[in-house]
Amino acid sequence: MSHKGKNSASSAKGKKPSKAGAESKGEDVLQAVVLADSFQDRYKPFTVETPRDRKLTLVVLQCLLPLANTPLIEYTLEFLAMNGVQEVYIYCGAHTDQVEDYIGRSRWAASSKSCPFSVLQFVRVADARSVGDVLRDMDKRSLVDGDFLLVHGDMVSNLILDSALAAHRKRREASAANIMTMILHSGGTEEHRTKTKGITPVFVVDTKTQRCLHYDEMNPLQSDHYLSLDPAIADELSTEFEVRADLIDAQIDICTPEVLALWSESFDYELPRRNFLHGVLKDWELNGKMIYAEIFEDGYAARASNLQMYDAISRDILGRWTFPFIPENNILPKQAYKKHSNNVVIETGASHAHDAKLQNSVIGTDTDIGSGSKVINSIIGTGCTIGANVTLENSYIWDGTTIGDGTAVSQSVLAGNVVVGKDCTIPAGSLISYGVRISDGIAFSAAAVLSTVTSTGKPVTGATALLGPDGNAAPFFDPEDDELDDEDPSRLQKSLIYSLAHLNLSSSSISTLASDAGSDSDDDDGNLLSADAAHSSRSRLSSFASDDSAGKMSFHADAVHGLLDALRADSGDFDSAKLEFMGLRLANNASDAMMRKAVATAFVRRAVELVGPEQQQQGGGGTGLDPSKAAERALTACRGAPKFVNEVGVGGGEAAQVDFILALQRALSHYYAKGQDQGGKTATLLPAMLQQLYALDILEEEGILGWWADARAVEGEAMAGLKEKCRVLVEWLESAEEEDDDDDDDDDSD
Amino acid sequence: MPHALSMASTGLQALILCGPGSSFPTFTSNPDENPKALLPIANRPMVWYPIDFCLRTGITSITLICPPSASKALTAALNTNPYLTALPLPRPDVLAPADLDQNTGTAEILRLPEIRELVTGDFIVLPCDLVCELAGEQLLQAWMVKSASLTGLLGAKQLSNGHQTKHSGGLGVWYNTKASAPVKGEETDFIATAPLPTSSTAPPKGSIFQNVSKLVYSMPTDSFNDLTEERKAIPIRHGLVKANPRVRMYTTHRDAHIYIFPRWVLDFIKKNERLESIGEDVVGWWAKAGWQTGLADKLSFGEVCRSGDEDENESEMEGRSSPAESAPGNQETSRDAVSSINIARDGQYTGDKNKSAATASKFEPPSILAYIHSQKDQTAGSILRRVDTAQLLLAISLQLAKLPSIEEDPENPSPFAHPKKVAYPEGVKPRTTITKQDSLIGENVTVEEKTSIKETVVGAGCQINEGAKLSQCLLMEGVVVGKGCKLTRCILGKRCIIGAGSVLTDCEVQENLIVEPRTEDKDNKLMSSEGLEATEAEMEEVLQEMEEEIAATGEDVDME
Repeated sequence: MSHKGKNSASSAKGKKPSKAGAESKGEDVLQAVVLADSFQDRYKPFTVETPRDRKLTLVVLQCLLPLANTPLIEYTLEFLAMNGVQEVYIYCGAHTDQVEDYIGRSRWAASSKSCPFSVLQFVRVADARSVGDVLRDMDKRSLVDGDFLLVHGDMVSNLILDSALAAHRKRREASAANIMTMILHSGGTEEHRTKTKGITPVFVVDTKTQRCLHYDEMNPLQSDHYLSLDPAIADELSTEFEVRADLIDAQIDICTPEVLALWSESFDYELPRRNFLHGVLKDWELNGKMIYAEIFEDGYAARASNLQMYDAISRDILGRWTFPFIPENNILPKQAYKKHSNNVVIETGASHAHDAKLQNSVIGTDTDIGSGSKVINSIIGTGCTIGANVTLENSYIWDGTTIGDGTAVSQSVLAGNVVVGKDCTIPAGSLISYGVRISDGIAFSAAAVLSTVTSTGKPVTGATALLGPDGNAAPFFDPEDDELDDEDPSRLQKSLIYSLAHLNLSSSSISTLASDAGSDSDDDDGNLLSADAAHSSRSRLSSFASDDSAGKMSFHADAVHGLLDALRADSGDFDSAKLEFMGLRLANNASDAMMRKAVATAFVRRAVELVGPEQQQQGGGGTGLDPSKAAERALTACRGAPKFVNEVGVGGGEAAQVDFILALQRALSHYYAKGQDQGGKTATLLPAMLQQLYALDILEEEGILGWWADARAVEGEAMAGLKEKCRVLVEWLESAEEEDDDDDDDDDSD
Repeated sequence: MPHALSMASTGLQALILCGPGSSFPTFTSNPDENPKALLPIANRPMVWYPIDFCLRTGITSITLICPPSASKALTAALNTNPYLTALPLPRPDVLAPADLDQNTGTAEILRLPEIRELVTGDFIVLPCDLVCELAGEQLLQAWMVKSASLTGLLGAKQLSNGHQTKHSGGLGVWYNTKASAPVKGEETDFIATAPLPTSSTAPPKGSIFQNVSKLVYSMPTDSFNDLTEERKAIPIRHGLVKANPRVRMYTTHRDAHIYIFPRWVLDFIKKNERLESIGEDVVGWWAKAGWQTGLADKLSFGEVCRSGDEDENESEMEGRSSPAESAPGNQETSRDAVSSINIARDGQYTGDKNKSAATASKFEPPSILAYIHSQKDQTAGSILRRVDTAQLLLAISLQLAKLPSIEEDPENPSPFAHPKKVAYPEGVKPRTTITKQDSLIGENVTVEEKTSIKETVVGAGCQINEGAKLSQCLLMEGVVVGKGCKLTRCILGKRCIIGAGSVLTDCEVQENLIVEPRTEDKDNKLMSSEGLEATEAEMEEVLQEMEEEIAATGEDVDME
């Protein structure tokens, strides 16, 4: 590999296809399958689907997003051409037309003379919901007949795979069980920009044979702090193996058609790594297949699978790590970038004031930069207008965006045709989607995610309070985020800046010492050892506590989901949901407080859905209900639901009632604080629900008044704000208290 | 013998642990008179090998540690055994701590007051059953360079913190059990290592640096198997992978029990009373403390390292060498300065326990390094084995017998080469077959005619009678093999007598045992009943039974 790698670095890019092509002569034609859709959308709000054609063409697929002013898929196709691939099959999900349209206009089009591929075919799989569906479909079509490269459409790499291909072929000839070779890139043991954040892939590879023995993923949200390897790995499979968490996985695989057959056998596999690789390696005894890993020390490979990786790869391109795929090599035929001093690459046709300070940046054609502006470590697309005294740092400005004088943008992505007014401040981590307009003098205090459409593609009414009079967008909120399991690491990859600061990670679980693996080896010894140290009991306790909290989290998520499903069914019977809930409760040994929280959360979510405009999706009808109707429907639509709330959710005297109201309040404050207040409707849901519960004889005045007096009800701004909405209800209750005294007895007997 | 006598003293003290140990039930049934340390490996007493290793390394301060009961036999051997007396001076000392018995764990030995008094500086711990052809100075070099450079790196940080000095780490050695002469059932350890930070300079030629890594996990494979069985999986902590993204695991390597330790390890062992053995407990926990948050505190690493500073400082004043001195000299001044500050601070802390605990919480323990002996090729100088079972004793003896003797290869002899393959050719009658390339015949051995000796080690003073056929056998001193015996893969203890015409395969014969003529046996341990004596009551019972039998049958009973 090493000499090949040098060749690639020293020779001009145009020569490579022929060279690599010559190499594979005599072998069967090398085919490649490009997965243009990863089915894991981590680029929101830039990839929100719009149902109707709008004036602006929005790019929906992440493989067409510009990376250093070149669509991502170009890098993938260049990589394939460089490695002598001759037949390319591009698999798309729902948006084949977009890719087809783009490719049709590019040099890769079958009609184009410069296209190095003999076959370039699009395959539509309209109903695919995951990579797994795509590959199973491919198996059915039997398009590929020999070894093929499986790559993603958002991959950037300059690796020359000759050595890996040769090794793969040799292994395949040795045994038909050797079905796949993964191309991995060593990222070193230190921190590395291009290593994926949040989810750390862990490969266990035999040092002698390079056979991959196990695959797992680690993330900081996991409650299980162990990798569990098959004992057979140490017993019979290997005597010397490495556990590697330092690899960069661009998900380039050399596969035999056997791989597709395996996908077909396992109908529920979705992801190529977490499901397929993990599963196939785990069941090695059953399937008898072997997968190998070729680990490259030099070269470059990465996948822009999310915004953090997009940021990292853009920086690598600016740092020329991806050579020959760097801007001044003009990957696209019509590009005309030239390198200037200070590592600034400017395309012909761009202009900048003489006193503008440019450094380590890429600037597209027809872009104009005003005087006194500073552009550092940024990539600016074509046709942009940057005013005077603008500061752009570590940011990505896509085509056609206008930034007014005196504005400062740091570490943000501004998609196409954004208009930012004068003297604005856009802080790090902001994502501003296509066509958003921001008025003059707007300064965000925290990272803003703005879009002109909602997550379902509906246009929003401009949040003029936030964005000024010209504002046409609103903070973008993806309801799927809320649905995500608390332990799902993908939530770590949705933002531009990777951060764990906002998460409440149990640090104790990291520092578990007493229950250490070593002590298991020799139980007496370990226990005695820990008994020795005075503070060991603390650590042991905390480790238990963390396990417990993990259990709680999963209980909460499961229970809320179960209840919500039952509530969404609206007219159905609630008994089965109740049974399921109680089962969960027993399984997790959930406390009363946890149950209360889960019940409150479920009903609040349902009520919020009902008032919100998104309810069409969720099985309702018409526009949003008003709060009191929503509360009534949420609580009473299902037969048995009120009884359930009374028995399970509240289930007791005044203290329990206070707790339940608090749980409701907390659940609501979640939405309230997020700015998801549907014109004040969310906030008024609380009094509406309380009233409904009161009417159903589930809550009593004592409970509500007790809550009103409780100090916990005013913890934080959102909570206090919600409480205030209930003042009218409470006053009414207080005045009516004496008269209702008699009813209480009846309530108790209920 | 090629000993590096000219080498300057390394200042290290060597402790050779001679027992407890009774892993040879056939040959050490009386460990006080026949200590394991004196069993012959290729005709040399076992303890010769580690002593020789120390002397080759340039360590002259050698102490053999043994139980008081065995010290007499050991001292006698040191004064009389021709191989041991032939070793260059100074003679090793024998230390028999009062509380050391045949069941004391290796870490417990290091906790004994006699040992704590004896060890004043950095030291090296060796087992008596180590056969190590590898040059010890390479290990020392690796330890000094890697350990010192690592602490140097930390030193920069510590200067700014002002409350820590650098501390030397340790080094252990592991070898692959399957690489050469694999023996079934040999004990192995499961270890995991992480690469050391790459240094900017290329390692010197011939150094073993590329095989030195940081030990992050170590446990005997048996314990490891229990663990995996219990968990139904190999559990690997995320913390380990996070702290060391590249962990290499070995399942067929074994701890050679060569440890180079700084002085503070004694305090560490003293502090943690529950550590029983060096290999499993001390090194295992130390390795883990390197990456597991909080474990170092629990094991009081900070405390023992800091208290060790004073000792280190003293020893430096005395002019003892320590790894820092082998590093560039300009470091020394800063080091002294730090040490003195540290003493002052320690004085402050004596009155304030909580505070010192708080500062200790950030303490990063010095790392323990692992040299992984690759042994990939059968090149000269690569033998590294521990000999602690009879099977290994046989296998290693035979392996050593294959080394060319000094007579055959005077240019570049192995440290373990004997002067001649047949020490006393006059005792060998003509018309015998001895395969010299893989056999070794000791002093005063008489070999009668028509014998065949193939791949066999014969100890001093043995007598092989006419027509005997020996193949892959190990004969200790003074064995008499009767006429026409056929012995295959047998180990014969001292002064045992094999009766004529016996056919033994895969047998072990205890010392001084007389095997009846024409005995045929396979895969057995032939031992006298000595030591298995029945109680008086049992004897009487048996006698009574016999009498009854006599009375019943009236026949003569051979009472022999």
